[in-house]
Amino acid sequence: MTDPAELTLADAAQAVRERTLRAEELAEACLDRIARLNPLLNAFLTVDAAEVLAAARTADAEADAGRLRGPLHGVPLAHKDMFYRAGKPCTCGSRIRRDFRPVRTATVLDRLDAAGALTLGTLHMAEFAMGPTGHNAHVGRCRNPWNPDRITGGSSSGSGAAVAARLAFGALGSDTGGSVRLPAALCGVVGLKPTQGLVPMGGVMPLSESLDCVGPLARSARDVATLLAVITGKTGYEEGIAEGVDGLRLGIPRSFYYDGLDPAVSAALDEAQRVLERAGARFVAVDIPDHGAFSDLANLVFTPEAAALHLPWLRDRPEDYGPQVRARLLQGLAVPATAHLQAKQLRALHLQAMLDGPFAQCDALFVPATRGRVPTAAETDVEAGPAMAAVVGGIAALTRPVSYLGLPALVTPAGFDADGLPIALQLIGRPFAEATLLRIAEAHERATGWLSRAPQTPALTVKGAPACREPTP
Amino acid sequence: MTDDASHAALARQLAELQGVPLNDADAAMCGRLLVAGARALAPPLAAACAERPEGMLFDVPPGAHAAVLRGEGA
Repeated sequence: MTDPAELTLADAAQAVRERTLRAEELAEACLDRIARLNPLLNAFLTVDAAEVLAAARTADAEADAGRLRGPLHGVPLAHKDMFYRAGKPCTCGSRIRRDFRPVRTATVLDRLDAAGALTLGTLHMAEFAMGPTGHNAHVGRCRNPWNPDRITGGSSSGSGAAVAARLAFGALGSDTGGSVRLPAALCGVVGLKPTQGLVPMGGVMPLSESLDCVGPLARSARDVATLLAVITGKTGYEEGIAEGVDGLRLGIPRSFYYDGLDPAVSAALDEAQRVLERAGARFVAVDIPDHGAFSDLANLVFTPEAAALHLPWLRDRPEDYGPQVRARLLQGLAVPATAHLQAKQLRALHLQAMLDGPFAQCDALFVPATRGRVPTAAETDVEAGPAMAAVVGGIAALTRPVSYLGLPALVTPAGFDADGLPIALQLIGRPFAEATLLRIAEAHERATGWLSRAPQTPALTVKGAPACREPTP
Repeated sequence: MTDDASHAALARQLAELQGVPLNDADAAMCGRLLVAGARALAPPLAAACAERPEGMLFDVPPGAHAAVLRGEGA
């Protein structure tokens, strides 16, 4: 029999609804994989086995009685450790909040609970969601299921790794400069950064009020659509998802996004374009404003907002931060308020220029998620010295500008390189055009089947996988 | 004092005014960022101002972005 953990979220939910699988079986399948694989991957920070099994039995009893809570009834999920649940520890990937127990539950978790979702535990993340690699000075690094020597991307590192390794059917992450899209891209799953303001942020650890977004990661566009519908309380994401791309116009920017691509990334994007053209999409070349400047402007928005939130701890507990995170926060102390506010004023004008320019000619931009292939952990570790800064700085080069603009963006696998590591494309949409992005992604994945490919490294397929060698203080 | 040293000293003062002491390395880094931030902002700001009435962003409130997302224009 197929491992139930291999099902997509949609198939798992349907199986529970139709009572061909028990929620308890789904939870047990996930817990079994977590027990075997998490010592290697370090994707879960905590696992609530007894709690999720009890909740699964309740869900099964309700299903037997014909009572279904919602579209996620009995489906096990897990989320980045920054979504508050009243009374439960929420570390935010930090030492500072190691003992923090929030008094409220995040709105998005309330909505997932109401839809019947189960919670397996909490997922690895960069300290305070600052870091695009999956390194964490306090809890060790999260490992990529496709090759544990490679990074997962961050900051929603555990969300990407857990979904790719079939440890959970879906996950929430947060995205301030690429933190949903990068782990989705580097771990070979679908990740969506919604339009700024679409998803409620109540009860979610803040980082940068202007840029923070909550977004789902899953193993299909349809699964992401379901999660998005639940956490937004809106409809329209799932309904038209299978309509195909016939007649849609996809824009390829003449500048920035295709500059300096690794040949493997370039070839994968070319093939993805051919796939979508065959499916009926029309590609047009478009001029875009200088997105290179947007990363710097995003930093002027982000760093002072983060520094303001962290100021009391920067004063009183500086030694409790990892060195890179502390250094990043200190940058915000040196940004004048006028620069911060002018960067925000420009944000409105740049977004308007995008709407009047490229988005007057196309329905979505079609670009890579990253310029290069998945880096190794060694390349991105502090021990790598000055070269590390360039690699780490480059990882979010194609995601941060979109965060500055506040537009929705989705990443989905576009193939695999010669080493078997995922390559991802990124679709950038008009404000609140998430349904269009999901529709394009669904058409692409239906034509290519990339998302049916599961990590097959020996460590993930052999029982008794080697234990994580990195200390986890 | 060199420019780098004076920028580091300024960054150290700014941080200390906010209650955060900086070591030499952090002060140097923040000093460089102080300059880099201003340099990064200047070209797009100048370009945007050139296209605006009165050559400034007076009528663009910092919260205007949300209105553009809603389709209400800048």
